[in-house]
Amino acid sequence: MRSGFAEAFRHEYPSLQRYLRRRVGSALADDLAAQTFATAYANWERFDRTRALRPWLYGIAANLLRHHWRTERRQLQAYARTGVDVVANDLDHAVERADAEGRKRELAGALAELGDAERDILLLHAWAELTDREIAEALSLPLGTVKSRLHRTRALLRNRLSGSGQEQGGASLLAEGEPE
Amino acid sequence: MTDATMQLLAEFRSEVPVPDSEATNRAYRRIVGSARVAGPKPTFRRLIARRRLTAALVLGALVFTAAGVAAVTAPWWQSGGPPVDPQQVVAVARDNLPAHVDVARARTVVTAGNAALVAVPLDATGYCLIPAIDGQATLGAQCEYQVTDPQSGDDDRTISVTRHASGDTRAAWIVYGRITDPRATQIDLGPFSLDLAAGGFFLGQVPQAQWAQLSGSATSGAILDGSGAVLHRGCIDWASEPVGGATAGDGEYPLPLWNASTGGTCARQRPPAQPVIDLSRATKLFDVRLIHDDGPWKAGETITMERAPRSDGTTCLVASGPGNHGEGRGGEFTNACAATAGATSTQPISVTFGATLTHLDGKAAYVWEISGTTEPQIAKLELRSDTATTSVPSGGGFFFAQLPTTSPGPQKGTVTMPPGKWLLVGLDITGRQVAQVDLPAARRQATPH
Repeated sequence: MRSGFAEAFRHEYPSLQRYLRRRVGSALADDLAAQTFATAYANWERFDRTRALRPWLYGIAANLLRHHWRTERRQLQAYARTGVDVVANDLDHAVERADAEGRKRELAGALAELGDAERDILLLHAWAELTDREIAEALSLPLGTVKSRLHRTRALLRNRLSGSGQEQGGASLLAEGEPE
Repeated sequence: MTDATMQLLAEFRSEVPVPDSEATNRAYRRIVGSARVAGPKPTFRRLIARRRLTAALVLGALVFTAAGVAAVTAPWWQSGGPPVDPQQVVAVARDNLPAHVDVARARTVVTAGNAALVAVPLDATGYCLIPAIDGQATLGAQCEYQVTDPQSGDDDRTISVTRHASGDTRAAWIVYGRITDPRATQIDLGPFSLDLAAGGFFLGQVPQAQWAQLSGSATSGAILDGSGAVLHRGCIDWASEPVGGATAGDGEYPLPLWNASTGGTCARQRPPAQPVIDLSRATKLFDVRLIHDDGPWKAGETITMERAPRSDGTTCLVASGPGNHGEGRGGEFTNACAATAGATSTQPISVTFGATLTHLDGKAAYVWEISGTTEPQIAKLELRSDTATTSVPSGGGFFFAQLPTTSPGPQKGTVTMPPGKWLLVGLDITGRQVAQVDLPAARRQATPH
């Protein structure tokens, strides 16, 4: 057993697993959380303890999650389209419930339309509560890139949810592959 | 973002709960406690595991960190008798266990009727457990790499495993494992108790008369010391009874038999749901002639790569080959995907690495595989090394290949690729190079930080 790993696991696993569940649902999230910590365990002795732990862990998780971006997008699109959130519904395994909250459906649609990398940054900020600097470290991006993408993503989301249908500066919600 | 938008985003799926401490502890034990090695299963198609490299890395790292760690328990292997059937142990070790288990020092650590539990030493404090019944070691195996904190219970391993009846093989249900608290002498499973053998090992056959009653249930349990005093209380998660022919629940139950708890009612824990690959909808993509042995297949054999949808919406690359269209040839199988079609990537070629520790000519070595997806503009892939350029089998947006050379094994920590230049080059339909992946660099990037 690696020194300090158990404590780190018990401190960080719950929030990371919940974050992943909010992203892709429990079945996949449990698997991804396990892979994240298995990877962390394998590399534990080489991890620089002077660095913050959370960005490292969320960085591992982000690398794993990118293989499931399409799944996430489809789930969000389905929620926006039908009002049924498979991620929330797999919590109770009960009858499907149609979420009448139109605003959340709108939000799901907006999240689905974001570029995957932008959605990653936004949700690391909003759900994992990482700082801009921690997100930059987690995703191996320059801090300035994180700040600008976050700013732009917020603007896009605000526009979409305001119902105006206008996008600032002609920016596309599909920002995937944009050069730095 | 406005406050209202931020608030809406914060509330979105906020009903998703934080896992409680029991769930966290279970996850911890699953992840850290053991690198389980599945026993031979009659699976008809081999799935190429995207996570194989991770597993190999964990395995390699764990195995070697055990070396040099002072033993905190008695040298348990010295007191046991030899394995009931040494050849079975050798066969299981050869096909399933880490490369450097010490088969010569394997010992039977506990018996129960016609069942036996054999422990095979692994470095200073590690060991692999091989259960056998009726002289057949067909119930899987499990390795524990080091024991450092016996009384915490974190190092305990408790397993419920079933085997359905097949041909001359009778149905069986056994429980086995090790309680590492040196004070413990007995585990009370509720319906019956088992004495712990030297080293804390236990093994029991679940009485057939109780199968129906216990199947899928949870009972209260306890770990007792020599005076009968309770050291730990917990719950016993019983597996589903083995019934009829092959069943989905056959084999090792995915949750520990024993769960420490502070009291209260015991309820059955649900194993985490795994996405299911729909092999009935698999379609052929391309053939691959193997350079090295690969699981159940030998070098020189041709395997067929197919694509099949998975219940989580992804598409998986699966392999089938000689011997697994009818009778399963055994070997290791895993419910994972090598590549996911349509996974958004900014790269025209998305590569996943696999490194499998194996034996070649008596020497441990890692066989390397690359697999993944390509964007539509790539019509052909080439693997270029310092000495040769070879075509990479591909089709339908997927590819798969073994590297022609291996790297020595076992290695500590991150497993290194075979030395030299390795480029994966994508060509368009005219033969023009449109993409290139430096595999060693991509490999380093794929190993987080």
